[in-house]
Amino acid sequence: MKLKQLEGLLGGLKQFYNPKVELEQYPTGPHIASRMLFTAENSYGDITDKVVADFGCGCGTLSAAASLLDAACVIGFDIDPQSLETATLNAEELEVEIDFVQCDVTKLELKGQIVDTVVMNPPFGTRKKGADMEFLSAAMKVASQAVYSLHKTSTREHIKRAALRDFNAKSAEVICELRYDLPKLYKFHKRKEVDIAVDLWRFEPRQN
Amino acid sequence: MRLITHNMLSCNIKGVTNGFPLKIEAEKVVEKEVDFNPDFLRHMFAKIEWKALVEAARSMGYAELPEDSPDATVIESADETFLRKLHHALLELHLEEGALVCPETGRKFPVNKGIPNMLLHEDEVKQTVCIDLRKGNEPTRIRSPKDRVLMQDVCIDLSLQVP
Repeated sequence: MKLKQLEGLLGGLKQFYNPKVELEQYPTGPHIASRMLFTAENSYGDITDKVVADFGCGCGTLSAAASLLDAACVIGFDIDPQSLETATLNAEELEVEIDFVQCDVTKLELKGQIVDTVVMNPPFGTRKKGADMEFLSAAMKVASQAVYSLHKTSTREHIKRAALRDFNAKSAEVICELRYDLPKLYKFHKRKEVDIAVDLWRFEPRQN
Repeated sequence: MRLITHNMLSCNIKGVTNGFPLKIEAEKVVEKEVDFNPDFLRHMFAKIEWKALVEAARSMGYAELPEDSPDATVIESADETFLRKLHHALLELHLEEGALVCPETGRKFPVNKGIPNMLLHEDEVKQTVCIDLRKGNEPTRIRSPKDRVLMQDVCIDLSLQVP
């Protein structure tokens, strides 16, 4: 599948119909999502024929992208039932199989080494302090091959240090810097839209 | 929910030492065909908890998997009979309605429209204790996320698991 085609398909997905600010629910736009997963597969071979978990899947954009890039199995995890409802509709629309699990990923305990790759667009920690680190910690415990995640560029040094020192990372690389365009979604948003500098990270866990 | 997902889920209620595997109470099971990928299945076979899969498949009405996990020769051989059974059990059986049950506590995690709800109630979650190192202050138990944010500046969160 070509990048443009992937981006086009992701652009047609339904998004949050009742976004909750305390969960930092923002759609992952098709531009970012397509590039993130396309790079994961074309540069690193982490998606096709792999078991991919999407942490904080929301409406399932990253999960859908993984499926479209022929992941062998995709599982989306999220705490909000309404998002999962939308995610289920999106999967049906695209005719892809995705399992969804309702849970708090930061409290989840997944057995074994079944998951190869974790992809995620986690909360940045603007509502619940430290949420981004909790998600990263959880992802590093689950993935046997790689973790792809988005974090604010302003937290780059902090993330790198934490990943290598505390979260069992063999490597922690910023693959590229992206502009995340956030539309005006919540009442407290003053500007029509805002651009945030985010890093696309790839972490490799140490083998257990 | 398919059995490949079930094979990694466990009960994480505080105090539970053996929450895996979750028993399945199946009320509605649906079968959906997907493409057969033998290489993926060979690779997966080594990572799966076999007994858990056999038991789970049986709960979903599929009893074709052998009780004992076959040895490597069966997996590597050109004969794909076994792999087809593994494929069916792992990827084509969907639990649409029912429950996943913790083997230790009996707590039921409902499954609706194929989605298991693994959210814990507040009293089932492990508590984090925050130690306030200022002289004379007692250690304080953090009760809610809001407390945690407020306490952030005055204490060190050592994330001790408190039973």
